[in-house]
Amino acid sequence: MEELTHTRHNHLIDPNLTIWGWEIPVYLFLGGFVAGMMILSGVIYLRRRNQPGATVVFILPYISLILLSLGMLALFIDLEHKLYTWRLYLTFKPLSPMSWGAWILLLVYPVLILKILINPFFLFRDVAPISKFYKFLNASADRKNFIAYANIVIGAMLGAYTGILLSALGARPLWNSGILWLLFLVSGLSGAAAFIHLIAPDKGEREMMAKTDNYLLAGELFVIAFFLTSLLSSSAVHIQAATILLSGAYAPSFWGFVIIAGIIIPLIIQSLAVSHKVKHTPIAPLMVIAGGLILRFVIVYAGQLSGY
Amino acid sequence: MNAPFFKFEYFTPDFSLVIAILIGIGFGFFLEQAGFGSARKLAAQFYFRDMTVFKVMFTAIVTAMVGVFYLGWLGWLDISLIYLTPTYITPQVVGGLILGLGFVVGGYCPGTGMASLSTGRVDGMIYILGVFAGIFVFGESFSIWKDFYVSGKMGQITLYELTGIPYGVIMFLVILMAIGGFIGAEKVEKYFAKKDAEASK
Repeated sequence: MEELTHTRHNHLIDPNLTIWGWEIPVYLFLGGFVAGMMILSGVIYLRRRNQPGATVVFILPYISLILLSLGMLALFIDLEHKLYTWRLYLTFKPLSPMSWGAWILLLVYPVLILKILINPFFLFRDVAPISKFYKFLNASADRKNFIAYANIVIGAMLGAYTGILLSALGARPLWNSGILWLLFLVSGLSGAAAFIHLIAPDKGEREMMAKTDNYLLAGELFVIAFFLTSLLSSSAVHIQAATILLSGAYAPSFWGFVIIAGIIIPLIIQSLAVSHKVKHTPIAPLMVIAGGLILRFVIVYAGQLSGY
Repeated sequence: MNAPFFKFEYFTPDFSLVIAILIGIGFGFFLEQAGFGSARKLAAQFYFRDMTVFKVMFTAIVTAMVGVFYLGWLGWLDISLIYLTPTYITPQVVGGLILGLGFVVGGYCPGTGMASLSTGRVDGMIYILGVFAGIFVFGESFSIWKDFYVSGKMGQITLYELTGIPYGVIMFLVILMAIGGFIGAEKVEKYFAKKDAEASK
């Protein structure tokens, strides 16, 4: 018994501690990305509602639906008991982030679909029942504004939840931080702003998003700094957890891909682009999006290495 | 302060990769800023029209050599701990010639090729594809070259160990060589500029 508890020679003493593969980080990234797109599409709609013309606002909900479904598929692949998924919707546990997440995800779909129905693809505008919804929603500005606000609120909840899901797991010191939700939310917003910068048909929207992304990237740097300093000023296990990112096994990926290639370099390129010193190219936005994906991988993998 | 920092464990092996990324970015940035992201400028070296590459590379060698010597002399750097690539004289001479040939034909060395690729130049992209193809072919056919690859082994050897001439004297001779080289390079550039001007009349 002494030997088993002290040296853990029996593999059954500790469960397998690194059980999350690619599925969870991909889901967290896509969830945050969609959340960012929902918030930004809501904000752009509210800001530009009196300025007609080419706008990205009505393209984003389609892309969001596809990406969120892909994310949910990744999550579903990860589930051990796939056939029991429906049980999450038989109850609501206010103290369980997973329960919150299940219900938030259920709200995201109708909110996105309502956004699409404000301005559906022109071929379907006269098809029932789409035409009914289209006419009903467009009959009042308040209804459309309400949908835009709903996108912002539900998007913020979705983005924050992806971080809270991890930080609620006290057994993993790296994740056990009160600021992880903010980091994932800001990173999701920044990825979404980069994506809009990449695809927006309207030049004004592209410029606005590049500027917004610069503020978000700068903010993300501060949040990462707060995240790390809060870990470093905590207990020994938390300091060890931060060390995995700062100088340990995940330092090259964290510093190289997340901080340098995912934030600092695109921030420099986009700052030069918005001040019209260099041309807008897809390079910087693609680096931001890749950096956001790698951030989720690094946090999920490094978190599984950290422990008591 | 004692260097090499890595050998004295000032940072972890994992963090050394982060430093490598920063040095790589700095190296690439200055290569590009010096105009070395352009194949025209680099290839001009081999036609003696623009000796910038020669001057820059020789300056780098002399700067590093003098820096290492004096830092060692001051006791800040333990020269014996600096990693030296082992010498395999025959394959390295042949490899150098192949790289040189590739440099003349393609207009880039691997480092400048990466700098060129980063600025979006298509010739740089094709060149780096060629680099990877070469690495792949070499790796897959390594069993054929293996005996040649490890021939001419001389170990980790330096010029002063090989010749018996003191380090300081070697350094002085290399500096003289550099100064002579710079003067010669200027003259060669002027000579060919004049020749080109005459030819275009």
